[in-house]
Amino acid sequence: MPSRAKQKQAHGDTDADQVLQAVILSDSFNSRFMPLTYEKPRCLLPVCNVPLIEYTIEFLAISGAQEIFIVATMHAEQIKAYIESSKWSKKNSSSLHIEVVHASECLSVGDALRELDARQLITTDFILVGGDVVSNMKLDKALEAHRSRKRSDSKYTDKNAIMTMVLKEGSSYHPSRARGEESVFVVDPSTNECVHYEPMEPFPRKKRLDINAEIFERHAEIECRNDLIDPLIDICSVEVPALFSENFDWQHLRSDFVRGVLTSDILGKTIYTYISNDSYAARIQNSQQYDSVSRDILKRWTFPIVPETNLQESDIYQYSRGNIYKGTRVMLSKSCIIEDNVQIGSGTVVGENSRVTNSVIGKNCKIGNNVNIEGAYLWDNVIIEDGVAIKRSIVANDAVILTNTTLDNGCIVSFGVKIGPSVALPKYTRVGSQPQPKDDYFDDEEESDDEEGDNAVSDIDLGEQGTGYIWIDKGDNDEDNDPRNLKVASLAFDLKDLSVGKEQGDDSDSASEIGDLSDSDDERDSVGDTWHPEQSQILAARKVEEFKRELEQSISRAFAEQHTVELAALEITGLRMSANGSYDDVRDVIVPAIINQVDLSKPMPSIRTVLKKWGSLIGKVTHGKDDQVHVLHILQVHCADKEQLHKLFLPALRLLYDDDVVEEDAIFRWYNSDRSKQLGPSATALRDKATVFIKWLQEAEEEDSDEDDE
Amino acid sequence: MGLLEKPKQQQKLQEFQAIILAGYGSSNRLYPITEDDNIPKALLPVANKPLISYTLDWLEKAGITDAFVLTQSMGNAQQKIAGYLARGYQGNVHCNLIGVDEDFGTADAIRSISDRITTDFIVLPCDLHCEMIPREFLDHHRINNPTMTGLFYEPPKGEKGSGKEDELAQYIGIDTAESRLVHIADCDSSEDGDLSLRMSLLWRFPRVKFHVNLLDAHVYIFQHWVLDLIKAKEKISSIRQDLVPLIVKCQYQRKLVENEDMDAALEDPLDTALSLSTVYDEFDENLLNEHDPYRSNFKSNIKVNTVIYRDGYCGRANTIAKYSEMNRLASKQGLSIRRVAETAEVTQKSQIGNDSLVGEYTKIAEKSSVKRSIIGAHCVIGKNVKIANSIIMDHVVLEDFVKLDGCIVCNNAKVLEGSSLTKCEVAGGYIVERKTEENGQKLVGFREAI
Repeated sequence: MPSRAKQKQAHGDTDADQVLQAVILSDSFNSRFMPLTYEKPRCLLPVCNVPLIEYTIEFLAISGAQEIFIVATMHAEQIKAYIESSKWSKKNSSSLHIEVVHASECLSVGDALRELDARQLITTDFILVGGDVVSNMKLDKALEAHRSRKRSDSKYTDKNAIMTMVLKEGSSYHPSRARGEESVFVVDPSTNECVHYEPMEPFPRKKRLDINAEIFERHAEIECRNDLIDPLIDICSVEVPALFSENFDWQHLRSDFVRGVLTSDILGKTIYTYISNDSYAARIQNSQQYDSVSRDILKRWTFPIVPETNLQESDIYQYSRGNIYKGTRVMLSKSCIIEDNVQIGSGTVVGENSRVTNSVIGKNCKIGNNVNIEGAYLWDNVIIEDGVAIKRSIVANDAVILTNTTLDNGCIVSFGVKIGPSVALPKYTRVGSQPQPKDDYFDDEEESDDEEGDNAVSDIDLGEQGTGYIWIDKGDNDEDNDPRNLKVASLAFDLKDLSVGKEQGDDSDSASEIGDLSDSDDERDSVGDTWHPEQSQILAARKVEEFKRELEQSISRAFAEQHTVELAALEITGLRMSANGSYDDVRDVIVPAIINQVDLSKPMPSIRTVLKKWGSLIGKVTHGKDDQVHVLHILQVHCADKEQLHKLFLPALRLLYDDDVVEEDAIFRWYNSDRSKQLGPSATALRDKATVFIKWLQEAEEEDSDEDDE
Repeated sequence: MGLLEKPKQQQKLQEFQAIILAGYGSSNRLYPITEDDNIPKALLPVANKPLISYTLDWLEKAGITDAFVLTQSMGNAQQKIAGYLARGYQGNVHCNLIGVDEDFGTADAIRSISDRITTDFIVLPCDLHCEMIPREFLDHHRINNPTMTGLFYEPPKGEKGSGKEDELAQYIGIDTAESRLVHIADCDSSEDGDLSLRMSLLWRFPRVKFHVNLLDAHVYIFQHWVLDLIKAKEKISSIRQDLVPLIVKCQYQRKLVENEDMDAALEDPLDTALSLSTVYDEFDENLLNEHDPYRSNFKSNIKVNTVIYRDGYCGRANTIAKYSEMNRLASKQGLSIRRVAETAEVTQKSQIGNDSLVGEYTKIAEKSSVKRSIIGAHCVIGKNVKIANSIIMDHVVLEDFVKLDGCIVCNNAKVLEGSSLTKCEVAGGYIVERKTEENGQKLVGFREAI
């Protein structure tokens, strides 16, 4: 009895004797590892020759979890079979109870948690992790911090705390941060309460972070942290799955749940962080992280989770200098070179004059002569023939790379695929053993423009004896995710390749945005007007261009479909307002467009009918003398542009005058303006032609004024 | 004036020159006590010593012996300060009093004397009273050698309420790793008062603490080249509004640095030397990341450091409330200062609290009581007068049965018999009629209201 009481005190929790539950979300709910994940769930992909989920379970076991639920969606049978055959299921080996929960309908983390809620499996605070965590952290302190908030006697009691996010301190450019998915956590340094969460995808580039002023009413001091690695390890209260059920539109744990809770006035719940700076924690959610975490393991940052501690019972690795790990029965030829950070699984053979650096090679692989393997991940039973070069790529089980083939950076070759001989796979090629399904599992959107640029890729030659199908990165099901965000997160991705951007103009601003000054509200920082950067002007100009293009389309539609002037005017107004465009821009577009409607084979009658109908449209976007002068300038320039149009100028001028679109004063002002004389020789000629008309107008006016005098 | 008295000190090589902004750029938040017929802000008495003497004492403690005192040339402020510096001031700081056009901003004023500044310089307000040991602040600058070092303080708790009304809170962002000042903005500068940050800031400084409870002491140390900046850019008018934000932003905004040619101004001579060396392998890190759209290695040579003082009192007398607060603290119980001047005549039957001060030659008649108040020199105080929480300046006459609570009575004012004033400010020379009862008023003569 006394020991029991002591235990209670140590845990300081009334339900200390409750089991510690943990939930592993094994599915990634995205297609980052396609085509590999088409055949094997992500959590079973080997990392340093050990299935990924082993690291996660090990981490939970270290932290004292007793009951683990693995929520499996894709390939649930494989996961179940794996767990049943693993050491964790052997009765005497551990006190850990693992249960695989089938949740075949889930499409997101939110769905998985709703499923959990529906099944009522969770009875206490639990640890929520993805099936991809690699960590040597002990969660006891974080758990204690989480529990102490629930107690009324502790210093930082907060009964509304529902979650503690365990984060790892790194730096802003740390390779373990998911590229393209970095986020800023805003934390109250005195209590570790998270007060704001901001995801920062690089494309489209987020320029500003806004923090609500209300936060400062409760927290005098907050800290913005852009240096945290988010391994997605959360200690959650029982309410969390229920909250997901209540808010059925929440899909993501961070961008929906955390943001939702933090910004909600109604829920009144709080989320805390636990920031660790002495242990290792990272997750593998994309191939870039697969690379960086594998390296960290080889370089022993994750100690004691390193190859020679043999997470899997069957493994026996030997560690030698230069971070080289060798399994049993490895046969290395005399002349081969094995350099830094290499792991070689048992039964593998490396041929003469081959070189292996910074790589992981699985079991029973056969590597021929004169092969160069650099930063690559070869899984089990891979056959590499002579003269092959592989750079920073993943080659899955049973794949065969035939002689003299090269794989450039970032290639992924799936199970059992054969490539070669003598071909070169370009960068970032993905080869699957099955053809890519038309709509893969997560793609409920129709594939639209983001494929266009990639179609060329499918012409890649896999060689005479090659088997396999080229896969194209289709992107996530997130409708608002820029495909470029996925690219930067893939293995060995070189950002240089991004500047061959698909969208025009995109590369030009990405380079200069770094010191971005282009947003306007900070302009008062710089002391005066002349300090305005040209950047904003360029952006503005681009916007105007776009607006004009849309206008053109809308007006040509109006001509083609014989809209009424009112309808066309309405549409133009709508466009103008949504794009915040000016009337000047509108006139720049519609005046030439209307003139172009004139049938040049019979100019006179045609211009009359055209202007009779559409002249009033010009009138609708012309307000005041200045605008009328502007219209005349446009007309002059446009008619001067092409010789056939020269003869239209005077009739148009006359007709516009008759329709009261332009008045005499405006015509005089246009005629006398310097601009009308400086628009090139043909434009000046048109102006001269108008002299007669001007004279006639002047006389008419004089007559008018004479009459007035009388 | 001061020039003749201490000529030797100028020979010494100075590390810092000080610029004191005396009654400068201040709004009329101290109205009416700084009007022309009373005394300029720099000379307002705090525990019967002029405000500026606290700043000068602080400088002396810092070992700075050379100061320019800038004041506006309009009105008689310059004359009065000159008088004080020549005759009243006892310390060892050699002061140069300079009158400046009153329309000048603070940076304009510095520009006008830029040719007389030859070292790094420290800019201070005249209304600062800070218990911080100045060496700590200067050492911070010496160690880190930044472009600028600024001093911030947490206002005392009690002051918070009053501070909020008249001083706008600022968002102050300080980098955790190097305590660099990376963001400074008024709380209401964006539309709804939200804190709006550039992402480039967070990429350059991943850990930034944001405070709203810190106040700017307006004490800055600048490297000498900042003068060139001020000279080159006529648009910089105010230190607080133009210069400081500009320098702060140049720490992480490459475009701004390029647009402003800031880097040319401070090329590191060592870098130049290195690039000329024949063994130096030119390896430009920036080239590596040229194509990287969101990872820049932009490193500005500009650094702004901060010191946050939290251990004791620090405050500025820039509002009536803060001025009163400063007086209270300067005369609070338990300080070992002489409470009643030797020359003062206080009748036995009057009570002077041990939290009050009485100035020289002041007469206090019987049955009067003084609590938590400061009475200046040459005052005449009648019978049965009750003074609490007040500041009475010099040559003030309080007749019998006058009651004052929370008031400030300026020089030469008279409060006639039987008046009772609560939380009032009485302007210089004003006469409060008999039996006046007022609460929360500013009692000012008509001509001033114009």
